[in-house]
Amino acid sequence: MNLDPSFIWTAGLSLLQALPETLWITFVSVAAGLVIGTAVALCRMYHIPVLSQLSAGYVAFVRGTPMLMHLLLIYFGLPVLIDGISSAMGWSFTSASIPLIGFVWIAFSITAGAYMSEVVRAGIQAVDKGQVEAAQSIGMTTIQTLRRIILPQALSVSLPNLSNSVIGMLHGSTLAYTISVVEINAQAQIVAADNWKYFEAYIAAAILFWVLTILIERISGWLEYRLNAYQRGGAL
Amino acid sequence: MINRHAIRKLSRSTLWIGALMLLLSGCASVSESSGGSAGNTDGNVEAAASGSNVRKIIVGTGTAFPNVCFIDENGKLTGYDVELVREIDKRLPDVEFEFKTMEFSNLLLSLDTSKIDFVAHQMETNPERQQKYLFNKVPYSIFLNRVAVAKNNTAIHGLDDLAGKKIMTSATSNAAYLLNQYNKTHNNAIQIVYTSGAANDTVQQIVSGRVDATITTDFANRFNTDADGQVALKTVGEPLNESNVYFVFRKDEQPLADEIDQAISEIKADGTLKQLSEKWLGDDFTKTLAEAKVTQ
Amino acid sequence: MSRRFDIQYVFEFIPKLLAYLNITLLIVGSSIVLGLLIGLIVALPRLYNTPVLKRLSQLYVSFFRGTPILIQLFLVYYGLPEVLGWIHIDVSRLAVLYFVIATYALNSGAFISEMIRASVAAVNRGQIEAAHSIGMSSYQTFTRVIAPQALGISIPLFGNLVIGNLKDTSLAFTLGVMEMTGRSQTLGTATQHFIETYIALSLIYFVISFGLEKGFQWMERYVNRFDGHRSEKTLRASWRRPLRAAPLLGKGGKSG
Repeated sequence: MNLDPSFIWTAGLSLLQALPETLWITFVSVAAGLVIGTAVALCRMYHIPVLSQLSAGYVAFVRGTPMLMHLLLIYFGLPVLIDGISSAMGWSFTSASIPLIGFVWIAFSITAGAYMSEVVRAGIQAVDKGQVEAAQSIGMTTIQTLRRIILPQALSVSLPNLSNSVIGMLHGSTLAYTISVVEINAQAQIVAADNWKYFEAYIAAAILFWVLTILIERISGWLEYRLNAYQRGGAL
Repeated sequence: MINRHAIRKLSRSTLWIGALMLLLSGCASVSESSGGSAGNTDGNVEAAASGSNVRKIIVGTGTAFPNVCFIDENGKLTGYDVELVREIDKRLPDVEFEFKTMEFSNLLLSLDTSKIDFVAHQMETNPERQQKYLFNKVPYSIFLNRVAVAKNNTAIHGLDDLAGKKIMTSATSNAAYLLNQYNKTHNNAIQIVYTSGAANDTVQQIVSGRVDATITTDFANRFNTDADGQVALKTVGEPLNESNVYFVFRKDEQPLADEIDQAISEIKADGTLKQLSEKWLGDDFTKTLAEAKVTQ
Repeated sequence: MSRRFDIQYVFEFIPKLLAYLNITLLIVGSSIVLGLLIGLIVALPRLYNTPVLKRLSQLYVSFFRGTPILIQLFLVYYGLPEVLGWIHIDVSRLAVLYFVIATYALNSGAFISEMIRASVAAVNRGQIEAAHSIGMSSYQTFTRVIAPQALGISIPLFGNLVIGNLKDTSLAFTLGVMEMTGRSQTLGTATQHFIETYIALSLIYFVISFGLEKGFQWMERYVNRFDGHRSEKTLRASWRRPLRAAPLLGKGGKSG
């Protein structure tokens, strides 16, 4: 097999078509995951009666099973559920009206939620208890404490873990090809099959992901630098 | 305090023993499957001769084509193509076949990189494939590609009705080639959706309306069932092509192709091929196009 | 046959899937062991600041942490034989399993080298200075002072790594390896009961992950048994020590 380096470039350009899809999948899952994760983390930390056990179970199950399973279970299981409820209630809404990427978003948000909840929990726990006590002693409510004191500091501490999770979801987005969503991996396969040049197409895909990952790491590093401005030593 | 210490010691040794056992069982399985790939669930095919000149040939096939090459409920690789290859192996004493299973889209690439020596997956010929690969001369069945749509679809009667609609197919398949050729001459009228095969959801997608059609052949269509086990798709229109089915080899494997041709001719002559076809494909698909006009 | 959901199938499928558990565990075990070796070798240049090797290490780690596993699997399986072919080593007939283990080993190696770096860096610098001041050589310092403490710190990270590796092995079926996920696909095709096979498979993965996690938590407590449980507080900020963006090593009680 002879390598055709110029095709790596051609393949790369073709892959850029699928880049928006990959980014969409990643960032929607991460955003939804953060929301779910924060809610779940707070439930567990404040030991809300039923919800904290459910949350613990949810996190344990999602973190203990592969991401592919989440996607396939949602893809096969959710339509059964939705169509069942739809027909029972007489609605005309069926699972067929959900675009395929919707299943990807739902499944990956569930995955991201569990990992994000751990990130958020660790971040919040790293904030000094004394600050919470001080806030409460001047009469702030829990919500105010969370919003003004805890979360900003927790954010700066948890940035490394957060960026790792984002990168994890970016790499996980390659699984979407199994349900015919055309993201970078699927596009690489299509370009490879059309031109009979598999290796070059995959090298292009690898380079593209590598560049994206490095970008995310750089942005995260820059954010860390900015957010930690208030506690760096040295002359101002 | 002493009790807790004892319990800890016990659980510690249990954990180590458990881990050791797992590792050993893993090692045992490796020595069992040594020489073969883990993708081969049925082990080596019996060598007809115990001579030292037996050449090992690796046969590439898939696991997702019902009754052609698939893994049954007991974990055994079987199907029309698989059983035919086993039959050929019996008749060729100087070669020993070993199966290697993989996703359909990886078959031709694995052939290119010498990971397998020939492909057995109802492969049809087309100009692109003929340029890169070698086909043997004696076909072992025929394949008619037809458009398949949902049972209750009355709008589509052929490729021309699919303008602006979606059709689902597998990458590297001949169907994909045919559709791409059609698109080249019809201004990209049909939108091709590629399935990965991992989700096995072609029927679901058609029935739910996400895609409008797929390409299949009649003997395979009986496996396109819906949730109640009823056949969910129907074939429409004239066949898109009629192709003989061959094994695919690398260009430099003419001797092997000739040997296999000999075996196939034998198997055809004594009626075994017809039997296999009727058993697995439901009817006799072994007369080549030249030999008989076949109407499904 | 009918494809309607039937819980009975889940119970039927579990033993059939478990028959391939040994392959999955073999992949995990071998790739972790090899990964530890690779990780250690790759981490050393960065710990000791060797000029050229350090850059190579960084490149290797960046690549294997920066690309998805599916793509790595493909590149190693189809690319490595080509590369080895240039130096006249023919591995085109080698079983898929070896390539898969090699890929996961290279992947784990990158993460393990980062884990080693983080846990070594978390050991108090004063200890190294003290060791040098009483005349210990670099090697003695590493084996007697740094490594034992780093080991204790790295266990939660290592546990996450191993469990992550276990879940990643579910992708090996794309190359044709018949392990548990691969078998679930063929069971699904044979019976048309996909939801049930994936439920059965998820349960198996969950039980193993849960077991591994408990094992690692126990190991962490055991290794840190002499620490007087101060270890839980090392990464908390207090009013005396400023809040630093330390690498969160997953300590502090329950996880998952």
